[in-house]
Amino acid sequence: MHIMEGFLPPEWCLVWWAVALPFIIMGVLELRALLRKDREYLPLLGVCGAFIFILSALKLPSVTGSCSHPTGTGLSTMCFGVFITTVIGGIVLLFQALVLAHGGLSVLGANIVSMAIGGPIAGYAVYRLLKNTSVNIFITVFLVTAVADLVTYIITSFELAVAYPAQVGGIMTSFTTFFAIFAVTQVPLAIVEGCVFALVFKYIVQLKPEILEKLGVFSRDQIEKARMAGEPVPPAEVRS
Amino acid sequence: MLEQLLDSVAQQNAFRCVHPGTKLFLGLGSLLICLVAPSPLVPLVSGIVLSLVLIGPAHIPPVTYGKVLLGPAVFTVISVVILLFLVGGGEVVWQFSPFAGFSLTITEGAVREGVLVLCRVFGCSVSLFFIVLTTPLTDLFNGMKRVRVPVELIDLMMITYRYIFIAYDLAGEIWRAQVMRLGYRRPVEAVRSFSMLSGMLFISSWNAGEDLVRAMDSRCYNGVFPSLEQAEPVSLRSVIPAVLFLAFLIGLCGVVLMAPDGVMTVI
Repeated sequence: MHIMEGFLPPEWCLVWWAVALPFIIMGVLELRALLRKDREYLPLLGVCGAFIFILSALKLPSVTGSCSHPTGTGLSTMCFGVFITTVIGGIVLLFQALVLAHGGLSVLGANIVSMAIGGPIAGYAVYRLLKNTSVNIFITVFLVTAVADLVTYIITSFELAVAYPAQVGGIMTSFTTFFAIFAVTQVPLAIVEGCVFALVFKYIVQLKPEILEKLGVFSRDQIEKARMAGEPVPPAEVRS
Repeated sequence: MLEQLLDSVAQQNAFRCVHPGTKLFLGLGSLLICLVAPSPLVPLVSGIVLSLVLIGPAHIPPVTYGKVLLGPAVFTVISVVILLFLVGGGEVVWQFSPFAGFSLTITEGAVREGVLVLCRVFGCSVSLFFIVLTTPLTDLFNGMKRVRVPVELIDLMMITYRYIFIAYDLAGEIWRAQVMRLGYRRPVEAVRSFSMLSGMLFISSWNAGEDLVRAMDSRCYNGVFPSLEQAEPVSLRSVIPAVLFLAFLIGLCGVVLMAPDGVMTVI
C-alpha cells in the first residue's frame, strides 16, 4: 500500500523528493562502481527488480482477512546493500505507478523514502547486527524482513502525519492515528512476510546456495549449517 | 491474482502514434497544475475532461478505465475519512460522543480540506492514468535517454521491465497449479504455498539472469544496451489542444484566486 498520487500537499512532495535524491544519486554511483567491477551484475539486478515487482503485485494472505502485498526489499538489502536497494526499489515503485497505477509520480519521493530507504536501512541494521552471530540465518531473515516491513509503514504514517497534523495534539496525534489504523493489518502482515521470506531462504539454501555465497550474504559455514538443519530426516528403513 | 498490466492497454489505444513528448507534456503539466491548484474545482475539471478524452478519442475501454480508477479509491476514502476527524478548524459541522471524555468532531475546515484532497487525488491520478494508458514504457525509456538519465539506470529499467513479463507468466503458472491443488485453502497452507512460489520465482529469475548474461556476452555486449528509437513526428494537431487545455487550467486557477471570498467558499 503506497501513498497515492495527489494525496500529499505539493510542499511535502518536494521535501520527500529532496530527501530521496541524495540516496538515489549514491545508489547510481554505487551501481556504476559495481558494474565496472563485474558487469554480470546488471542482468542479475534487473531480474531482482522484476522479482520484487511481481512479489508486490501478488496478494499476500493476511491474518486479519484483508490483503496486502510484501515489500520484498528485505531480501534485496541483504543481497546488495542499502543504496542499490534504493535504486531497485525506486525503479519498482516507478513501474508500479506506470504499469499498475499504484502510487504516483509526485509522491514517488515519499514512497521511495519509506519503502526503498527507511525500510532497507532498518533491515540492513538488523542484518549487520545478527550476521556474524550464532543466530540461525532463518531467524535473521525473518527479523530483517519483518523490521523492514514495519519501518516502511511507520515512515509512511510519519509522512502522512507531518503533511496533515491533527488540529488537537498536532503531528503526534496524527501519527498515532495513522499508525494505529495501519497496524491492524501491518503488524500481522510483517510477521507473515517474515515467515514467507524465511521459507523462501530455505528453498534458496537447499536448491541454489551459490547465490548467497556469491553475494556474500552469509558465510559458507552458516549456509551449510542451515542446509543440514533443513534436510528432511530419512525414513527409518533407509537409515537402517 | 495479478492486476492487469496497463502497458498492454497503452500499446493499443488510439493515441499510440502521438509523439510521447506531447502526451508527457499534457499529463505532467496537468498533474502539476492539479497538485498546486488552490481550489478543488481545478483538479475536478481536469480529471473529468481527461477521463472523457481517455474514454472517447483515446478509445480506452470504459470497464478497464473504471477498474483503474477504482484502484486507489479505497485508500483515498479511508484516508479522507481519517483526515475529516483529524484536521480542520472553524465551525463544528458534526459531533458524536460515544462515551464521556471522547468525542469525534468534524469542522468546516476539515470538510474543506477533505474535499480539496479528494479532488486533488482524483485530478492527479487521472493525469497519471493519461500518461500510463496512452504511452508505452518503451517510449518513456527513449525519452529518459534524451533527458540524460544515467545509461546504467535506463539499462537496469529495461531489463527489469523485460523480466517482469517472464516472471509474471511463471508466477501465474505456479499460482494456478497451487490453487488447483487447494494450496491456498487454509492460512498456514497459504503461507507455505506463497513461500514456495516466491522461492521458485527468485531462483528461476536468477537463472534467467545468468542465461541473459551468457546470451548478451555471446552477442558482444560491451556494457551499453542499444535500442532503436522510433520517434513519431510532433504534430500541431495534438500539441495545440494540449497547450490550450493547460492554458485553460492555469486560467481557471487565476479566476479562483481572484474570485471574491464568498465565491471561494462555493468553489
